[in-house]
Amino acid sequence: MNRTKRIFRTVLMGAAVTGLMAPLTHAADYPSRPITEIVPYPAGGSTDLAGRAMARALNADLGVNVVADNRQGGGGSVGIAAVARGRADGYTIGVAPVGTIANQPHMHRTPYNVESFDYLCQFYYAPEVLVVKPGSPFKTLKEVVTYAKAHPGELTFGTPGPGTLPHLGMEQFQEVTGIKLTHVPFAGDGPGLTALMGGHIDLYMALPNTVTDRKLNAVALFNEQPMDSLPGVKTMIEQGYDMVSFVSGGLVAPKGLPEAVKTRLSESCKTATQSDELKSVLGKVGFEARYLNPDEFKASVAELSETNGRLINRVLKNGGDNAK
Amino acid sequence: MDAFLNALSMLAAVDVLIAVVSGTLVGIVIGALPGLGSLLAITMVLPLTFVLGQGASIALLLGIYCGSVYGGSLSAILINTPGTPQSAATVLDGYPMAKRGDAGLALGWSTTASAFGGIFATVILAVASPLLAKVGLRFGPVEYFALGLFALTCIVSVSRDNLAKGLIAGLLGLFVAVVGQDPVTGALRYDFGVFDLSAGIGLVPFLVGLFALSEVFWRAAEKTDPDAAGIIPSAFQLPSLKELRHRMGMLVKSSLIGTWIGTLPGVGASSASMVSYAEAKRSSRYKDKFGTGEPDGLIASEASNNAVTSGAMVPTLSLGVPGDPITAVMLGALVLQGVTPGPRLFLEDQSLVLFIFLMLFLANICLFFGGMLMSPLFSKILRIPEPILMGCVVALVATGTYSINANPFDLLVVLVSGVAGFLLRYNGFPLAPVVIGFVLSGMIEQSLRQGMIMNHGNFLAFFTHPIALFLFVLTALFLFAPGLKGLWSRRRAQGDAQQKTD
Repeated sequence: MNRTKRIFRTVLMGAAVTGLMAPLTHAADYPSRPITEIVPYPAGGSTDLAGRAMARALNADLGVNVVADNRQGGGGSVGIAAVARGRADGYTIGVAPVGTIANQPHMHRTPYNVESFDYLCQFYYAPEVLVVKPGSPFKTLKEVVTYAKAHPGELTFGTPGPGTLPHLGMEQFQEVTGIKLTHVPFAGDGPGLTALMGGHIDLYMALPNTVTDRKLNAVALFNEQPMDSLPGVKTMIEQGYDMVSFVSGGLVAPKGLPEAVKTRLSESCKTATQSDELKSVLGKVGFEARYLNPDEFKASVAELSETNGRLINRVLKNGGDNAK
Repeated sequence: MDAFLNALSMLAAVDVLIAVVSGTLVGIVIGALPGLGSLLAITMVLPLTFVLGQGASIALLLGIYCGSVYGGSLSAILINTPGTPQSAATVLDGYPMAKRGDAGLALGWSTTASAFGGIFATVILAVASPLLAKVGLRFGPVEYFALGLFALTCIVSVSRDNLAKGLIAGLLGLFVAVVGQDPVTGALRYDFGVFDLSAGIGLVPFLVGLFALSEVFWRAAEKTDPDAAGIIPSAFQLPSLKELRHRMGMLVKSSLIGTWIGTLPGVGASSASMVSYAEAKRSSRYKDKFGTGEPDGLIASEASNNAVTSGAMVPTLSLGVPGDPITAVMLGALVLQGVTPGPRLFLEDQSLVLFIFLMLFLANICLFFGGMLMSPLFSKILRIPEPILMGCVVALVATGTYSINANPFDLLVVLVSGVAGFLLRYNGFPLAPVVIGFVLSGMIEQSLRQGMIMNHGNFLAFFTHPIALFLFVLTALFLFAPGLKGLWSRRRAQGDAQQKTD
């Protein structure tokens, strides 16, 4: 009994000493041990693959292992909450798809908001594309808008879920075009896209590579400029509507990183974004590498949070369109 | 033909063969451990695919997938705990068989049925994949709702002792699954201000607590009788050829159901085994014996859940839309290997498609021999003294559940559902309906509400969809046929009696 106690005490003291020493060793020669990179979505999705590629690129630049750690649930809010609650020592970072920070706090009470993080850099981006179902009579955006104006609420659009970026993009789309569509939410892109391809819904917001891989008919691109991979698809701006819509994401860390650590990580994030390997992986999963520095990234998230907060309050909080 | 030769030469590589064999074996072990499932197994090896070549990566992933789905049946049969959610229906007849002293035969049936289901589905996949994908697209929200409703009738078949208690347990499962975000408005339901509840109750912690932990509590609470040794271990035994022929119809039908449901995105192997079990219970020659250790029930569950593995590749490969979370991870790995699943894959890279079919075929053969090899090893765990075995189960369950999401809240879910499961069993409520309700709840709710939105609130419009109508009729037949039959035979008896008096 005594011996057990003694062993127990020694272990406990050892643990306490290591625990106390840990913060002291950091700032001096960061990084000195593996870094955990939390990915708030399940393994295998586009965001996860992008996050894992980022982890490998950071590993090459920082010289320590960067381990991707999937914490899924709650539209990404569970994983991002884990980042926000993490220790601000540079050994816990997270991949933040902008929707998790810009949308989720408006949907329900989250233990974080836009101000809870140190932003390191944005590294991926992809614009949305509005597609119509196969065999649809609509060939252009104008035809869709004209029909929807004459028949409010008749056309349906699918989304990967309420409060997701494509959903809010579609709500904004209805605002700027002055039309009324019916929202049919699905549990993720898989079921949603299948429903579109089966002709059960009329419209869907998809990413450019989805459009080209599955030969879908696109009527509008929500990018600033037209894209080479989508010849003949006009942007919303070209068609007279001032609107863009996109998915993007970057690296964040718990707020309050030591300045030296923050600088080191954001530099490393920039180097990684410019690496050929990351660019190639992002290309394969349908994103493009688009760098924003910490301030620009934070500003982009804050701006989106404002727009989407307003849309969420209008569409979801006040009974929602479907309840009207 | 060139494509076929190409595929064969890809297959003949040493690293590919090692990958498929080791993948299947590792899959079986991970699947058999309660709490560790297919998704975790695939996620674990995902980083390996970054260094392996294209062929070996695909072989490894498919081996792990097929192996883990089968592995879940081992613990379902031996310790009354489904190793993976896909084997939830296997418990119903597998464990009673083992309890009766036929553990070896039960393992033999599950091995045979799993391999048969997998191979059967692979053949269908090879022949009719593009066609199946097209038919699958006809399933919209209304059809999904009808399918979910039919699967729900499974609750009736597993509540043979007390229908009212079974229905209450099923409702409980349906209800527990509504915790979290509303699928249409995104509003939170029953979160009580607790952030962790906003993501809903996880399937794995819930299932593991309900079955594994409550089983531990149950055994701890039981008066121990030194003479009753519990399950008598028996040697692994394949069913005889005569038996196999006798039950061939059930094997084929369950495999067909599994393949078909596999092609529908988002339904998954857990629901497939329940639909198959419900259908078997409706039509089997031995339907009265279901729940008491009837091989037909075991076949229905195991053949269908392994058929799903091949079926789920249909939308994944031909549409680029994954059939379940596990194929979603595989899709990601394929994309990184430079493969672009979608309609063009079948035209542009036939040898790769053939290679995937051959690999699935091979994985199922490995599964059969792997199962024969490993079942006796797993049966040995029954010789471990019960307190130690149960202690190991608790440790495994806790580490397994925690490893998925590193979230302490999941452990709380395990504990609470373990206590709840124990209390339910203590009061004579069956546990299977809870899981059935829980698994199907999301699909039924979402598709019902989607269907209502799309039909502008008119539920009657659901009956204008032919596929849905067929499923509704099947559901009604299943629910009311026994009652009508009873009524009819009573009438006839009365009629006969009347005739006599006349």
